[in-house]
Amino acid sequence: MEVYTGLVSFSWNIVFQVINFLILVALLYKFLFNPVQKMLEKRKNTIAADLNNAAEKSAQAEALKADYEKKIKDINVEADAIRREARRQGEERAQEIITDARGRYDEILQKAQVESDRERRNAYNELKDSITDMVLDAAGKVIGENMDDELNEKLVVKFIEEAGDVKWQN
Amino acid sequence: MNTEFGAHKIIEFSNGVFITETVINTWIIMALLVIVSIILTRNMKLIPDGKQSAAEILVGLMSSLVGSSMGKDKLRYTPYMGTLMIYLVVANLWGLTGLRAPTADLNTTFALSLLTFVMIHSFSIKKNGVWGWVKGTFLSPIAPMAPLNLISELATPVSLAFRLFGNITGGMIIMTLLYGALGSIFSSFLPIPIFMAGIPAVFHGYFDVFAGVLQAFIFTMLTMVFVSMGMDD
Repeated sequence: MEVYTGLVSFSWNIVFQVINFLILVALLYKFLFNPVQKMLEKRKNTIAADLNNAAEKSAQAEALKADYEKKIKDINVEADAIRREARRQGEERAQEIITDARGRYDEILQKAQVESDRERRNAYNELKDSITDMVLDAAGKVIGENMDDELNEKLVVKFIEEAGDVKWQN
Repeated sequence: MNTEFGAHKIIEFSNGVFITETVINTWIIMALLVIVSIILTRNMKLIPDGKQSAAEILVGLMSSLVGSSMGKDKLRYTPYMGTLMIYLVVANLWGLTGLRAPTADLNTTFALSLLTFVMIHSFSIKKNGVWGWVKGTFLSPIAPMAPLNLISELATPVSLAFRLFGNITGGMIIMTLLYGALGSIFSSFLPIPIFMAGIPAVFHGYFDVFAGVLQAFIFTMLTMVFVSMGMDD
């Protein structure tokens, strides 16, 4: 049996090689090209989905942010209104308190005036009485003892009142 | 020194059909490629690790090659063309192992070029119809060109097969002669043929690595161009 084939010679091996190569194509398709291409496709889809998702989330966040900014603005306006109202109320209350205080002050002053007037009158009357007594006493001693007490007192009081009214009231 | 350059018969059946080392080496290469593919694409994840990236780069490279030379609409030929390219690169480099490169055998190169030939014409007929194929392939640009066109079409697989076979076989023969020469020269005055160790590396680099990869690329590119040209007729 011949061990070597010719360098340029055809044999059944050409058929074997065709079959071998077709089998190799099938095997590499199954074990290399198909799985890798599927994986690349899957990754592409995943990335696209993720990017879409991110864009969507970003838009949502943007909307939320605008919403919140609007709310904050509204709140500021409202807070301003509340502050203004509070100040107005405070001023009103202060005015009320001042007015009230002034009224009471006037009342107290008036009462004090009345009180002091009455005190003065009392003191005056008391003084008048005691002077009358003193004068009567003194006059009695001077004139003598037979003087009509009742008549004399009338005369003295009249005299004091005529003199005193002018004097005491100054 | 072995002066026979034909493929070694490994198994011979009683009816005269035999299997050469070309076929055996092809089986080894097939097993290797399938095992490496399985290892590379095992447990694939969306976030790739090193080996998965290698598989993705390889497939991406083949796919971009097919896309740029055949067109984006023919990306479905990536598995065939990619397999052709990978197989030819490994087969052409197979000489580096000390075994016979499967492509240093006309049976392999003609098998592949006949597949290319069949693809060119079957896809052309499928795309353009029989009459469109006859008109586009043989009666173009004018009917009297038919005999020349016929020779041209038949020459395509022959030139493809012989170009690859010639390059790889030539390299193999030169390397065999070189090893023989270095071995016989230095064995006469040195007990160890020490120059057989370094010098052949340079020649392997050219004849096996450079020419091998280049021829694999050329064969694949021409196949892609011919097949897509046939479809565009």
